[in-house]
Amino acid sequence: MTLFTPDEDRSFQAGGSDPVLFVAMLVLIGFGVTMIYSATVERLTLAGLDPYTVMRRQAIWAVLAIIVFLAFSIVDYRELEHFAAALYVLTVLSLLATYFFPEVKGAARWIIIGGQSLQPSEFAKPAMAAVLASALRRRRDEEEGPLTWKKIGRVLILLLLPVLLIARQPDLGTAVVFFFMGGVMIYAAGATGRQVVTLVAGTVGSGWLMFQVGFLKAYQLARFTCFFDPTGDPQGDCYNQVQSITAIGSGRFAGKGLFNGYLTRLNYVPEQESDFIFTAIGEQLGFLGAIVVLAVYAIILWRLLTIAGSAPDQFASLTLVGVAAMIAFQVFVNVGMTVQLVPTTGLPLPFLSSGGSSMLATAMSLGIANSVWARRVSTRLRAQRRSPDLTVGG
Amino acid sequence: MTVRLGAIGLIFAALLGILSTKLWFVQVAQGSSFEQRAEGQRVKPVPTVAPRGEIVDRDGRLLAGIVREPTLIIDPTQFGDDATRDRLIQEISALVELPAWEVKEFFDTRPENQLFRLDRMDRAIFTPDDALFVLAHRSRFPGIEVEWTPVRVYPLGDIAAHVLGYAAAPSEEDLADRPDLDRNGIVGKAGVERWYDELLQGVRGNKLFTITPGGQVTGLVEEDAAIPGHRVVLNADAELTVIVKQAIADAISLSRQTASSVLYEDGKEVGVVRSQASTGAGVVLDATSGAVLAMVSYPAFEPQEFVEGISTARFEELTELKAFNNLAIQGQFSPGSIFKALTYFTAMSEGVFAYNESTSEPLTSAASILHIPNDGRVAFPFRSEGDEVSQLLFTDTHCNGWNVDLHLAFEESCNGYFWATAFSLWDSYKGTDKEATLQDHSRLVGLGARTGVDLPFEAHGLMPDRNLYQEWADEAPHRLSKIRLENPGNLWVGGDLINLAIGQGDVLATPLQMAVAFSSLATGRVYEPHVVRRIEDVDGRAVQVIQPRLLRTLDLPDSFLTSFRADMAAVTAGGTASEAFRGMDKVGQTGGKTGTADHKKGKLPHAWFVGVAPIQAPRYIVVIVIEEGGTGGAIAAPAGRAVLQYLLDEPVDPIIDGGILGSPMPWDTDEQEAVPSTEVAP
Repeated sequence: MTLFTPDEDRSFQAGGSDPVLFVAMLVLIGFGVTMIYSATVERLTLAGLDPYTVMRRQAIWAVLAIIVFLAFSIVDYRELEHFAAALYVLTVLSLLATYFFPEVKGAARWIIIGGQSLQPSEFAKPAMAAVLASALRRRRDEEEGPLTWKKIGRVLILLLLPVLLIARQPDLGTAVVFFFMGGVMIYAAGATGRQVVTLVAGTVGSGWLMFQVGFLKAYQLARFTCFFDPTGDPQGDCYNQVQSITAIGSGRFAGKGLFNGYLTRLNYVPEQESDFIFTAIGEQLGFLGAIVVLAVYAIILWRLLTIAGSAPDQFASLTLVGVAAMIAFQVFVNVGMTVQLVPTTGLPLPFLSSGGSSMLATAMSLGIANSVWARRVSTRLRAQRRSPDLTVGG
Repeated sequence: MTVRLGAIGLIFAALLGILSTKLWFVQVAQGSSFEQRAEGQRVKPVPTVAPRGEIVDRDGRLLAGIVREPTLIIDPTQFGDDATRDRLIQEISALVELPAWEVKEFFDTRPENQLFRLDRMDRAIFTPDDALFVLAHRSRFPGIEVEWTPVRVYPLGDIAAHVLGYAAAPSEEDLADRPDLDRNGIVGKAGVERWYDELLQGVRGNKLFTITPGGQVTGLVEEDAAIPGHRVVLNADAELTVIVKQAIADAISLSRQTASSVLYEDGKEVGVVRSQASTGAGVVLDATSGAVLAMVSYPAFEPQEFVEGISTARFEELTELKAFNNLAIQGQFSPGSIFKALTYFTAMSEGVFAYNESTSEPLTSAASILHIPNDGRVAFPFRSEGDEVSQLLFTDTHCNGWNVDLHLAFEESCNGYFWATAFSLWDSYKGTDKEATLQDHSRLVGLGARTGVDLPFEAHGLMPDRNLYQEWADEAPHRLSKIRLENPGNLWVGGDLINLAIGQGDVLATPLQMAVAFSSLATGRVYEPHVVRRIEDVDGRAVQVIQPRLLRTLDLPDSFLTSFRADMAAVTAGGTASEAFRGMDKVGQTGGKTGTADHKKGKLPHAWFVGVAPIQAPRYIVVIVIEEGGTGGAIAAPAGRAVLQYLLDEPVDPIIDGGILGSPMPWDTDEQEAVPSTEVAP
């Protein structure tokens, strides 16, 4: 891997990194650490533990995340495509490895290295974005024109193994992220209307089939039941749903004030520092705070799509579209489940939920985006240069 | 590509837009209802016990009070691991002086996620020192809290126990009847504690705590302070109550030492029954207001035992001793000769006197032949002034063959004379609407019905007449003898009236009823008796003053009052009670009537005495009954005399040698008990 790109390529670069993207990420990370402190301090104090335990761990991840972001900003993103095949193999192997580690809460999602647990499925998201981008991008010898069914088939086959492995962990939410990401990338790569309709219909159809053949586990079905009728079992299966919407609703317009939410501070909302961190924002900072958070995500998505538009090559564009799709989908599903817009899943809220894997993987993704931005081409130059072929042996 | 990126951007914008819209509905449009739901589950209301009101005697002496005692509140969710739980069981076992297995049982049987308390009801002994130890070593006792709860105390032990009653944990029935009751509180079960329970209870307070979903308290949101119960001031005087109790106890001892009764069968002596007396009752009534100055039932119970939790065995033992019965209002006894006052009253007011044997006709009092001299005593036309013996009307073979008139018959309690009077009444009124005139006169002064005293479970007594027997014949024929049932026209006969005239037969009365009757006859006014004088708030301001309730005025001529008082005075001065009153300095200020009431073959009669003082202007009515105690003059009259001595500020003479009468008052002995004798220096 070379840290510096060849001189001839520099001539096309507009140069510099994207300060908006970086600041937006810092805002979310800082916000996340604060909210995690607020959501855990009371509970830890009551239990007689150090009230900073969870917050400190998250702060360490935050620092690591910033380092990872900067590192990937410096590295030439084009190196990624060289390792696309290796990335794919590594992803599949790491997902397989989770089955050899002890289950946590009935799920095999983690590999544990030196006392630190990592979630390979989180790193699989940006890795698969790069792998799929590599598969979808137009080769130098290809004709201009619509996407071929062959390519789409290749993408679906590449998706199949990691998605099945993740779904078996079980982690249905993350598995669905890959479908969404793949779908958006296929569209961005130039799929025809007929292809898009066929894919959407196929996805809906196979989803229906999964219900029919009993692929879903009992707790997953219960989440669906609660989604359609949350009053059914407010103390049992639907406890999470009822508590989280109650906490968010009780925040009203301006919130209870930071460090002042009762439900999200006293453990009424389960998983309040990880999957349900948004409830703490909703309760303590109200509608106002929630909208600000969504706005920061909007800025990040806008930056990602803009960078994708100005990327010097299609691999970069498609990778960033995939990353953006991944973030957009996770935000929608995570926030949506806290207000009963979608059924409960275990998807983290990027940068806000506690946990290192998601944080590092997302920072890595944005680092790649920043690296692309630093090598962007101006619109004028872009017209001259088309799909620079930097891949060895395509 | 750029167009497609724009389309993707639009999709993302749409997703965020949907989220924002939903958030608007949840947080702004429906925010307040979610907020309400959130508020509801994050706080826990904890009721606080209102301190129960005090009960004091008329001078303010504390009879029932409140002390704050530490209680262990245990939160099983805070134990952590099993090892800590086991250690806590050991520590608590040592603290509350209960075996560890018993504490473990409490831990095992209570719900795992709820607070529970360990208190005296669980026989846990947890002293303030123990509480301070726990508070000083908090980290050693995770999940253990100390709460200071108000606990009922009865500092004078069993003194006035039956007036006070007792308070204990509410039963399921209590809770169903009174939704305001606190399941963890106490409720009056008997006596004043029961009758005035709602005033004594106070108003429960509320503390609103913020809690974790596990129920752990994290802070106090607001406190609605409990309002302490009202203080109840009794008419009773604690010291007088002690004297009455001592007098009854000594009279019972006297009975057991001396009283016996010869058993006859077919006129032959077949044996002797010795006194087994163990129960008695006494009432001191203020004749001018109906105030109950003392009410004693013997033996008594310690109300404190109910606070501590009484064992079944102990409860049964005390029940066997009639310790829980307030015999003063629940004991229904044959009144015997004290009932002669009612016959006296009826004879005088009807003007019908003993049957004239020489003419075989009833003697009635045409006003012309009645002579009322200056002393108010009714002088009978057949008796010359100054001639005490020769022209007396009635030769009473049951009274040593004396010739007696109404006055002497009352003084000496001559059955024959009163039988003859009853016969006169029967002869004059049988079959007319005045046939029950004796009963009607009795009812007028409170017999045969509840007096209306402010205590629960008062008995009615029994006043037999033709209507009652008819009722029994219709509904409870087993209560009547066969002979009566065979002659339905003669359910009520002259013999019944004659029996009633001396307080025998089916007539029953409670000591309080007899006190009301004598109070009414001695003053002409019938008051409803009251044990409570005043209700005060916790600062001593009167909330309610119980006014004397005059039920009726008897409209008696002064001549009756003078005559009745003089005849009662004669009873203590020279009549049936004179032996018991010998040596009393102020005997001239007393009056009364003795009663010896047969009630069951083979048993000693009930010994009755009713005393009145000062007899010239009656104020105190003292009623003493010793159940199966023997004769009224020998057994009950000495107790009555002792009480009257106390009431008239005279040194109280003993009833028996070595009796408890005159022992120090319980509140004077506290200090002596506090100093163990072993610590006295040699």
